[in-house]
Amino acid sequence: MLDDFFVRALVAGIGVAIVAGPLGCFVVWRKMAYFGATLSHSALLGVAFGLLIGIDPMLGVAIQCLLIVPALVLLERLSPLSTDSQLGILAHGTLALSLVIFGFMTWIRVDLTGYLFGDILAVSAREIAYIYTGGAVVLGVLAWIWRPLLAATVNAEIAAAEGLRPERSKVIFMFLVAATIAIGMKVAGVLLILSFLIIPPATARAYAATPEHMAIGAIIVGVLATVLGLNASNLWDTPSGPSIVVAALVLFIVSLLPFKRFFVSKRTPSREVL
Amino acid sequence: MADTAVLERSDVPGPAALPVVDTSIEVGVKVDNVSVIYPNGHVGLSDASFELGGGTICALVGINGSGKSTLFKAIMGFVAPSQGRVLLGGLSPRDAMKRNLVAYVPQSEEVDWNFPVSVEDVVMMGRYGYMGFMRIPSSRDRTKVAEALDRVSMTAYSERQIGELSGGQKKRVFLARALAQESPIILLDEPFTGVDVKTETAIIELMRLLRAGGHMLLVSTHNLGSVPDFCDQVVLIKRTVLAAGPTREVFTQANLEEAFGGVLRHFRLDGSSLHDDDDARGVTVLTDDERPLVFYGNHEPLSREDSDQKPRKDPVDTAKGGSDG
Repeated sequence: MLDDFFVRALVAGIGVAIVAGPLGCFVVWRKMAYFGATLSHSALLGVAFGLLIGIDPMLGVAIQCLLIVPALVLLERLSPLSTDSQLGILAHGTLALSLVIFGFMTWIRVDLTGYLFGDILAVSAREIAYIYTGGAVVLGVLAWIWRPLLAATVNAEIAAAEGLRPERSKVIFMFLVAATIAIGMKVAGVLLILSFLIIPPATARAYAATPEHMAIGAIIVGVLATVLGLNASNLWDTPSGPSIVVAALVLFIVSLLPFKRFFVSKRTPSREVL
Repeated sequence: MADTAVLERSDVPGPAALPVVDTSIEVGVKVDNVSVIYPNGHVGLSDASFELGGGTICALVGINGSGKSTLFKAIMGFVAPSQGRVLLGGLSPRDAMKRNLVAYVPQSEEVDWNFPVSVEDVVMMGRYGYMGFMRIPSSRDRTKVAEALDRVSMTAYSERQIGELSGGQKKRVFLARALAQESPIILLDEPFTGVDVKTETAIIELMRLLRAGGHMLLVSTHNLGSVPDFCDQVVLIKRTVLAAGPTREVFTQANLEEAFGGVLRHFRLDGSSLHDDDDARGVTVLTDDERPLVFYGNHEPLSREDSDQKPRKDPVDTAKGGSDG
């Protein structure tokens, strides 16, 4: 079945969507979109170093993500700059640095477009195995830290007072985002992978009454966007990764339309208190 | 009606009438010579010491930037003292947290509300410490959450999204979470900011109930006028602990003027402009514009119950001239 490149693309895209949906909910709730962008932009540096020392670029990205998260945590604690500025410096600094490194590597012809925007049609069976095993680990760990992370998202100080160790959950969560970017890079590239983490949860938000509903909704939207986007790219011969993102964008815009009043019954309290 | 429900419940002892602290637990806070210096060299607190036991409501009073939040953070172990130590029920903050001895009610403004979570879910988070690895709520957890919501009159809102609530309602939800947590030590950060008078009355009534049940409540507040009403202890703070002890002894005009030196609005009306008789007592009003604190004659604070019984003119009506701040 995985012999067909289109089926492989579909399986890979759906795998990334299933992992990115629940994880992306926290990126949205915790307002960490720029953090995600920084991680994904800096992933290109991992590719560059991977190629430079002759290891699999995906492994290079994984190693790089393991280094960038502690760097970000340290910088957040030590630097007087706002987190926003630090992320801005790192995101574009690392992106530029990796392009310069590519420039030096005259002995390799690098498919830059593939790394920047993804090359989902060229996904191999081995990469699918990476996506699904890595994804299973990410989702398993996320399930483990789900409730402390949720409590820390509502209010980190109460969570800390309750002994839930919000800092620890946060650092684990950062690693999970980094891992998701590493496994999803082939599908959407360093510049577009973040949309898998942001757009499906944002689309599901309009219909979700609980965090868990929103996570499941984000998976459904992500899978739907992958199927629609890939078929559209097949039909109109458009680039595949960006087509999936556009499909997700269309679903998001549709979710903004006032349909939900037909689905969601407004719950009103039986008696007025205060 | 909701508030009277809370008020009435205290008069009728029932199975869920009083949240009582397990007598085997040692309740108390000991702040022993604590100094906090932030990494940027800023001194948050120096040589602060005081001690509180169970069954008390203590007001933490000081101007903005006086170190109130630093003290809270030190008590909860979020900042490590550069000198001295904090003991909660005889344990370090970290161990106390692990044993669920401390509940914290933040100012609701600090909370991110763009989040699809119901009131009940937020209160249930207070029970996580009692749940197992998978954190699946037991029937006891559900009962405690229902009781806590009932206690703050938010049962009708349990299914509501937290983001849809008003400021006072959010505050009630966090109080309910602290109640559900069943911790003997409760820290409340500005619980009266942004709530209406009815909610304030309900919160005070609830705090009295908790005190009667053996809890220790530490309340940071700007609301000076209501401090003598419900706080039996006061800690005055200005980078260090200026004074700590029973309200009658500590919450005096001289101490407050030292703590607030020049920051608060300060009125003084002498006896002659208040009375036609020989009573020489004057009225002093200290206020940060919410609820004024009134000293009448002998420099002791008046609680509202006291002032209702004593024959006097309302200082607000007679406040003409005499302002020096």
